[in-house]
Amino acid sequence: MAKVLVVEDDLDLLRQVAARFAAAGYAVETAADGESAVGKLRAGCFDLVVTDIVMPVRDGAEVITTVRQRQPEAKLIAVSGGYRAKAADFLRMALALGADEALAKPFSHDILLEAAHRLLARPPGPLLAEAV
Amino acid sequence: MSGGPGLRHELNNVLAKIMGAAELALDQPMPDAVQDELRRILAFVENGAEIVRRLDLPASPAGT
Repeated sequence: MAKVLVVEDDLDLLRQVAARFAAAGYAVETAADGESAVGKLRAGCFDLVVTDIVMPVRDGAEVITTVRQRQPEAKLIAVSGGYRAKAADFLRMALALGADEALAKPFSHDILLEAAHRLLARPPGPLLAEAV
Repeated sequence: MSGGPGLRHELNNVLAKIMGAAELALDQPMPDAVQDELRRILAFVENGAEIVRRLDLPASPAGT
């Protein structure tokens, strides 16, 4: 069973995405901010990390950097609804930092799960970031 | 969060939550008519998301 960490500061979205991954058969852990996510990444290994970008305390950029430093083979999906910059700008930044895929909010859970399945089926190794 | 850029972020989060709730509801057994209405809600969310994308809000390099 693949293990996924979902990082999202909006608790409704966190619950929804976690529920959808759990229903799809994933073992799910959640973090409601970047600080909590970094702690979980230090404590355990994940096959997949799904992280929001704009979050308090520590943002998604720090989460992505931590994943790439500590668990370089983990797959990583970044999501954003934008803030001061457009969502696409955050998502380009996420890809540049090492995210494998980037999704702009709002997105269908089916799209997210498809991305997760596709990434987890891919063998570990150097990755080419996909354009936003 | 406040101001235009923050509102764009908040609106996208609200749209994402509506979409997520409708999709989770669609996983449950329900009459066809209710399923049709939920699919309409998803289409309305897509319309709203497209409007947000077209908003010409000034971008700042100092994102959080």
